Amino acid sequence: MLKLEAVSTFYGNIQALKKISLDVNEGEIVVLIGANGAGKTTTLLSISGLIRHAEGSIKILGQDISKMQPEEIVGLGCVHVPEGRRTFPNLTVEENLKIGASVLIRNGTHMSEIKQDVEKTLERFPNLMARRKKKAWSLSGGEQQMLAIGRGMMARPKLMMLDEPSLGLAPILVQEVFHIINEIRQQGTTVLLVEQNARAALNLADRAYVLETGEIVHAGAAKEILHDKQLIDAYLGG
Amino acid sequence: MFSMATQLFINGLAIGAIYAMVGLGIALIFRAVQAVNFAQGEFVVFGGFFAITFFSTIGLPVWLSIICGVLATMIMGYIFQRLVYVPLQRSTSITIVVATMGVSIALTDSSRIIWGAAPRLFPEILGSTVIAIGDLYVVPQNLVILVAALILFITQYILFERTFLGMQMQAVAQDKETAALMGIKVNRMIAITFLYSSGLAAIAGILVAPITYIWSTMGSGLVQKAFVATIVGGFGSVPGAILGGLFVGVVETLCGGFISSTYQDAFAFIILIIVLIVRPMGFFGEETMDKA
Repeated sequence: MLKLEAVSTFYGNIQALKKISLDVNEGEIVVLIGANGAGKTTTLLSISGLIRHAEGSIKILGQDISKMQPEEIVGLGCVHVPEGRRTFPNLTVEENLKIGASVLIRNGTHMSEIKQDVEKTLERFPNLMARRKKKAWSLSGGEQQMLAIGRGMMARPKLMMLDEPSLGLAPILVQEVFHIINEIRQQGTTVLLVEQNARAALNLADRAYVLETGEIVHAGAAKEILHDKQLIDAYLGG
Repeated sequence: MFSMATQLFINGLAIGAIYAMVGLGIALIFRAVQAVNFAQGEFVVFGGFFAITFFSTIGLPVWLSIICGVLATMIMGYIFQRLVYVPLQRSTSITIVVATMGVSIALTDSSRIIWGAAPRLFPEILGSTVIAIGDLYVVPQNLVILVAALILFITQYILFERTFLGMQMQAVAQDKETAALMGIKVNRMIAITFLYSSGLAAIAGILVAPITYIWSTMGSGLVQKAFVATIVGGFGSVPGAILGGLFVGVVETLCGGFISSTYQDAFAFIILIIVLIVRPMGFFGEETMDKA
């Protein structure tokens, strides 16, 4: 589904990713964990094309995306739900969801089908259903996060990348977010997850990569890492 | 007294509609790229001159001259976007703003070289016979301006608020990176914004040409008024640009008529100063809409 080989990314002179290699197979949930500034977000930004990587290759479904624009990469079925929700504040809930389907509309999907998708998504998120005509800025943090995830689902992704979806949410909402991610996988979408909430993420994921200052220092089955006390203490702050 | 006030009010609305069209172009571009386009006034001048050329020099009928004039200006707006905005899009806003100022000066002088320094006239669309309604005498061109403005603003409302294209343009204005992540072609939306804004400017130039004439250096004065209008209305707000334009046009015309026509141009700036003191965010200014 997704394959990174020796990918390096720079911010000016600062090297944020140092020859990172990782792969995500169809149907998996893979989690990237590591401290702040380890390069987790940069990895996702490089894959979605918002930052151009300098070296190495990134392939989505076998296709090299090095020269592709972000809007073309979405077209391959790879959707990035960015950190901090980033819902469009002055569009309504419904409009935000429709915008999520921009890539389908560009490829000729009929608006009536998109409207059905909007209804399905709203049924999945009852809180959003009640606020469907409200502008996104008026939603609570949890509702905005649900909207960001719902908006990502509107593109009918094959691979969904989520950046810190549980950040700043109340514990009950964190549980809800992880529950939804599991549902997304069950519907056949592959998931690449970035999380600081390492324990919860490892409980959910199949495999994990541990990043430290731009390098992958450990890779393996999620359960294995969860029970490796040394690793947890060293990289995940207990 | 009353009929004079009404008459000035209509004249003010007409000139205000022109400010609104120019201001709207400035506001839309500002929303899309977070930079003020100071060359917007030159698009008014070129729009007027293009139409005059198509009409007087080439000899096309009035309606065709208008259409060709608007299309030619839109092409110019697109080229401007490709040559000025695209290469600078990763720089700071102030770099883009200064570049538009440079283009403004270059275009002003180009238009003087091409069309000369003397003011040129474009024919009035409904002729020049003043229409008498009771005590009121209305210049037909003022009615043309008001009707055209109304049609434009309604069309634009439908286009921006009721279509998927408009929704995508709003998304780009609010958050370009996330818009790209949604699969929106951000650069195409920005190009459409420039095309539309330069078309608006051209229409303003063609509509105002029969009343004030068109001359090469009129752009900067017009942009100043339009800029005042957008600030008074609330910077970056679409209804603000429209109502701000009408307000500035009406107030400066009334003050010009009743107080002093010599200082007519100064009144717009007095309005600006008062609004900035009393309500700095303008009529429709958005208080910050983001939740922490």
